[in-house]
Amino acid sequence: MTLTTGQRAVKGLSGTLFAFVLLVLYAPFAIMLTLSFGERATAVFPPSEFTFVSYEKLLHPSDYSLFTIAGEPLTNYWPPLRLSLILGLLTALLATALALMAALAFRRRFRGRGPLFYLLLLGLLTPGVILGLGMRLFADQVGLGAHWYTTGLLLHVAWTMPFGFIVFLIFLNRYDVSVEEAAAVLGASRWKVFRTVTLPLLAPGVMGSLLFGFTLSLDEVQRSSFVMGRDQTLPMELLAVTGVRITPVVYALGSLIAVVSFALLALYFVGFERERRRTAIAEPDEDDDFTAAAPLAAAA
Amino acid sequence: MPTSMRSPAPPRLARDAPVPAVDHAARLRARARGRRCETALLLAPALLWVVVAVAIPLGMIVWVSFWRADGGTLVHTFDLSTWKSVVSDGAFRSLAWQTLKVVVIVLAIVATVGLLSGYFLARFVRSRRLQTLLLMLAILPFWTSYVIRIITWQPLFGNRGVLNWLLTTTGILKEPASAFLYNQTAMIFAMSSLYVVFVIGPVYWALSRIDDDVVAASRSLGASAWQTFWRIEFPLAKGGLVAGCFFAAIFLFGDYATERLIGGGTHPALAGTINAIAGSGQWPTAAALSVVLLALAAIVLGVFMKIHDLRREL
Repeated sequence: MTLTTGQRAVKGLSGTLFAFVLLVLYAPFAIMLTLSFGERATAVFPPSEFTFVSYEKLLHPSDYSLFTIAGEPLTNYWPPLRLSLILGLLTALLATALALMAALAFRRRFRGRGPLFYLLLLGLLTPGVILGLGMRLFADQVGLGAHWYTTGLLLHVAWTMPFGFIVFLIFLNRYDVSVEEAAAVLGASRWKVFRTVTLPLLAPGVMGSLLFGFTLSLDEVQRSSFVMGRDQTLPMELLAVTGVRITPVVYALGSLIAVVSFALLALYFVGFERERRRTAIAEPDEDDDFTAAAPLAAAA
Repeated sequence: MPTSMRSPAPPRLARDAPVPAVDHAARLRARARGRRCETALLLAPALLWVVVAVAIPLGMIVWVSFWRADGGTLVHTFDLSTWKSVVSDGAFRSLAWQTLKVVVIVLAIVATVGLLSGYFLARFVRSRRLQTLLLMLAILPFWTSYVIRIITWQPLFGNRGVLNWLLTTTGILKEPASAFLYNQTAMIFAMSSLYVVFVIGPVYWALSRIDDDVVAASRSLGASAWQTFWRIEFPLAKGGLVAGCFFAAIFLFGDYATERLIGGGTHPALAGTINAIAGSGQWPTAAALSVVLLALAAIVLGVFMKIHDLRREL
């Protein structure tokens, strides 16, 4: 297809814009990695030295001889990291289970389906601060102490569950109910149909929902400030430290997190793509829909 | 069922089942009851969770906004004094206005950039593989830490950051400029870059589903590329565009960390103010401002739903 002058102009403009978007998205990571090998108290570009001391500080937070810069915050990031991982895992599992059950129920028509749909999404639609503040006010009123495992978990699941719910609705709306009917006609019990037919077909959706639950919880700050009590998650700790002073240790931690999450996501997408191709061979008609669900699930 | 499912005997079909001696109407009624019961049981956990963790807390916010703070103590009455002070205070009104302004500006940027980027991917990148790869590249950073993305802003745009280093070493600037950080423009730029991903994905997805023949037909029937875009491609991509803006708006209304770290608190918005006021223990004022923010968010999200019912995208 030959392009008209106007189309060429649009191509040039949109291509430049897209390149700029990628630059803005990735430049911070590159800068962060560069600065993590610096040593000075305040990040300066370009860094004049190359050292692993920031990573050492990260690994040995109680080795005070490493912390030689005046006023450098001594922070042990391991307890917050552990807390964030535990909370993220719990949130992902709970949110996915709740979302899957609700989405299965939504395959049927029932009274109040419309209002209940919005009610289930309420945790997603409410601006973050309000969710945290309301939860705290409610907890105070009923005498529930603010901890990560009480108000924190309640809130993280309420925030991430709608994402899983949407992912499951997208998958369920694009799949052929007749496979389930076939299994039922052939004598499988309802539970057996679910376990051997429905769940395997929904596997990519389950993975997507778990991913949403885990990453959104791991990264949560806007909603968390009033509900965690004395418990500090990793992003909250990072924000608190950056309020004081951003040192290369923060960049070292950031680089580690970025590298690990890029690696995990690459694995996930490779797995998703392989799974898609496998199902695409079995059912050529479904190819388009599964391709379509991937970016939406990723960007919704 | 006497024989196990593992036995080599052919599986029993439903029609082989012995017909029980009950009338069909009663069986159908019982099955319908069973279905309703199952639906209720499947829904109950999620609904219960949402009611406890979201609906009741939102009700609490509305309730507390009618309380009053007398010095350090909360008075659990029902009066309008908190609301009166919020409504009459010009500072709070301009706060609401600022919040809406920033959200609308960022949404406009995100929609334009996202639409053009998605269009570029779907129309001008030839290979499907490369399209997927580029889209994944654009989406990946969203899945990493948001906090880490905003704290790298300082070394990028700060006084001694990369941009200033580039500009001073190339001689464009004589001295490092402080214009790139801690102001509203910097904040809008940062927010746009954080949330543009929401639009690129759905727009690309919607555009890439349009059959090439549809576009070709439009062109061969004499429509210009520009007409084809507005009459065919844009209406089909609208759902994705609205969905992206919808999600971006959700994140924007609650984002106070970007405002604080990159805006430097120079142009506070409602979310940050609520956080600060609640942090100082003035629950009623924070609750009243929350109701205002909630109303703003409901209006903006409602407008998006009016433009395009997103339930059709599910």
